[in-house]
Amino acid sequence: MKSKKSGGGGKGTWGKLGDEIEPHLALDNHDPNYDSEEQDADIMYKPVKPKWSREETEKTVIPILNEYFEHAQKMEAIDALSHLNIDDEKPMVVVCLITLAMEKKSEFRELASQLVKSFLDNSQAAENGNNSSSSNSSFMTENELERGFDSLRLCLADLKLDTPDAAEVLGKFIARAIFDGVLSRDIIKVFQTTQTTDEDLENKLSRSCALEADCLLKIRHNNLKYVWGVGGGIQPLEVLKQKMAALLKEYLSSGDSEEAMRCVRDLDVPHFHHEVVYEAIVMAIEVSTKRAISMLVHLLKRFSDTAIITTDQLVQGFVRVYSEMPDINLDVPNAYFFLEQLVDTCYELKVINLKLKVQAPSRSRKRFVSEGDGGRFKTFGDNYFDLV
Amino acid sequence: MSNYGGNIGYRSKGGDGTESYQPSKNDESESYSKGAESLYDREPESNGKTYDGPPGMDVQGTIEDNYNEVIDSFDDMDLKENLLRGIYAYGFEKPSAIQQRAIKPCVKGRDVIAQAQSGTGKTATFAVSILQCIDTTLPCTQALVIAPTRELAQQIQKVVLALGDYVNVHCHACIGGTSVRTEIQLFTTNPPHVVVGTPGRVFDMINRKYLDTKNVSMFVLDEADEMLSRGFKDQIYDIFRTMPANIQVILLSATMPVEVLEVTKKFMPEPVRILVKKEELTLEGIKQFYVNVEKEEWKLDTLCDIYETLTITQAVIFLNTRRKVDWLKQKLQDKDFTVSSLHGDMDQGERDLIMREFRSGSSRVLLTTDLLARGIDVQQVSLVINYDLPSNRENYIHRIGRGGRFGRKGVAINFVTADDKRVLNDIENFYNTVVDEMPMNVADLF
Repeated sequence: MKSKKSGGGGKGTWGKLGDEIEPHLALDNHDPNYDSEEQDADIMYKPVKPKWSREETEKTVIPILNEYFEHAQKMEAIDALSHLNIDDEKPMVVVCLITLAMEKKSEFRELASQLVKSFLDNSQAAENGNNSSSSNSSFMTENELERGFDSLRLCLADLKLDTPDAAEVLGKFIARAIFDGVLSRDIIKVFQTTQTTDEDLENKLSRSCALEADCLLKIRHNNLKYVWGVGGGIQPLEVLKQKMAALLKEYLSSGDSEEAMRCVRDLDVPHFHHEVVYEAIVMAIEVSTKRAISMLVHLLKRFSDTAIITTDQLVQGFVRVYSEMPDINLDVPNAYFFLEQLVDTCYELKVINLKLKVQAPSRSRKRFVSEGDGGRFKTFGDNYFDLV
Repeated sequence: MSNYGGNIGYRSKGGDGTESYQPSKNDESESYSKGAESLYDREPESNGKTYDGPPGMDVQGTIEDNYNEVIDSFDDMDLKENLLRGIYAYGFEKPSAIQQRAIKPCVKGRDVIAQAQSGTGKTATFAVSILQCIDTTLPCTQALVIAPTRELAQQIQKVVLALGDYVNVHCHACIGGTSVRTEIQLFTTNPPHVVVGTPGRVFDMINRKYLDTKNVSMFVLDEADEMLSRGFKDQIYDIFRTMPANIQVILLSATMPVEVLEVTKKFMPEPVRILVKKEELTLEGIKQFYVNVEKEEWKLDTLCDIYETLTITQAVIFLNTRRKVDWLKQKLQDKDFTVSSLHGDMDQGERDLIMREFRSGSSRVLLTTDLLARGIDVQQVSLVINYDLPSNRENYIHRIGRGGRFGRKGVAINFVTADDKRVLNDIENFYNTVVDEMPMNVADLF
């Protein structure tokens, strides 16, 4: 607060020079000259909204943000936030948002980054939320956003307890905000300069955060739009399918099943895993090499062992392939033979159960069995399949 | 299957790996593993081990159950009477698949690995076991639970407190935000029986010597896979090092990747393993329909049209935002319909109250959002209406899916505007399911 003293004010003084000439306005009802009749006309009632305390703000803002993570409608969230009287606490919204996002998976961090962008850039939000009625002014100023990120810097040591890579995550958020043009690059300098000389944890974290942001921004043509990757049930179906096909292809060339599993987990769509299974089987059939089939069977086995893909999803994937076999067979003449091989190995490895195995369509089965497959079907006997 | 049990990577114990998996009687599996060995020698595997079955495990699988005792009623689990009261007061009637199997060995003091999808009652499994085992008359910390996020830690605390309502349990969630002094005071004057928190925060408490671990007898790792993928490995090991030698470890995880198995190998010498690979939530047996409402504004009229039909049974209506919930509630009340709604400003207690009212049948329709419905069993309700389709497709199954516990019947009705058609189509593909147009005789389906 700026001091109001320009001399002459305050209790027990004579007042300012020339005060005595001014017409005396007695506004104080303890003043003997006070006349309520006279004063009433001048009284203005101003609506005063009580300011919210930090705690109250948190209590109201957090549910709004949590809800945003579910419905993903930026305009809706900003609308709800604008109705709160939290002018001074706006940086708090950023703090709450990023703190919540830190505990969540990449897809939700992506949503948080998008909301940060919309805080300053309303036009984009309006377009997505198809709500053009709201005013064009942005929800927050760049300065407020910067203050928000700065208070996060001070919390880093605490955040690190619940998110071990908090500094790097914050760095990514900052890099993304700078990339989106809502934050100036100067903030990185603020993070780099240490407040105190000694090497405490806070400074170290602040610097590693700045480093992360700086590194990400320094790579030219680095499209930070994808800093959080692509995943989650919000993504268009086609994108998810492409990602799954890509990770399987990568696995076929690298043979790294752990990486493939990590990729599937990062997509975070456990109820769409049947697509991975489906795609893997179709890919095995289409590539048609023994190597590809063995590798993809092995991958399915790993998925089933680790329960990353549940039994239900595996079954769904297989059943989908079964029903599309006539179509697949058009492109791959030997499709039934490969499917049979694959299904048998999967059954032996306990990836699928007998029921699913015997459901497999086997149009040209007999021929291929007689051509020799090491007598694999002996255990069950050919008539086993006739039961179904 | 049984001859492959007991070897979840404890091959070191058996001397050489061959002992853990002897492909007896099934010649094919042997031939496969041999064939695969030569094949996979050429494949660069990330963990660098020689192929020995799939990497790091025997050919039968990473982890197999070795425990089959099933107790399908809480009454038969020999629990304390006051704990049973808490369980039933919380609304549990029948234990879930994982609870039927895992509670007994946990109570017996065995190390337990429980694998089950989220939402299958894992939290309650270890909460019940902890409450059964601790002595609430002793003022010291006897059980330690670590979880991947603060949010989950708070949920766990709530469950422990609710189930332990009648055993006077003192459960503390380390979530930060409180001043150091109050935290110290809490731990010195009135140490909680159960401490819940993220690994980082719990270790911080131990490190600062607030939390005394010498009387801890149970160490629970909830959602171990999530904790490890969030990078808590070091903190978990750090905490484990401070535990007394005879500590009982309970590990719960939806998936069993290599990192989790490593932890189990290090922490648990002879664990009981319980696997529930089937999902608890399913769309099987749910009749899913859509109604063409063309425009957003026509949804309300449509709802009113079918209102009479749907109030034959109880219904939950999902909307995407709280604001819309409030708005629809007002609209329906103006038309003299009795509806309950879960409101964003309600705390957990009020929400539970509304839910109890709804379950008791005092209102037939409940309006809610994804967020508000979380953690509440709306699963007994046989009709769900998606007034708005969910933004995140994964929420769809959480809205309308049913668990085996409640029987697999149900009807779901989706309101679809012209713009939503593609969204619904995507949902159908996502779940590999079919949503038909609502028939005229929908009432007959209940």
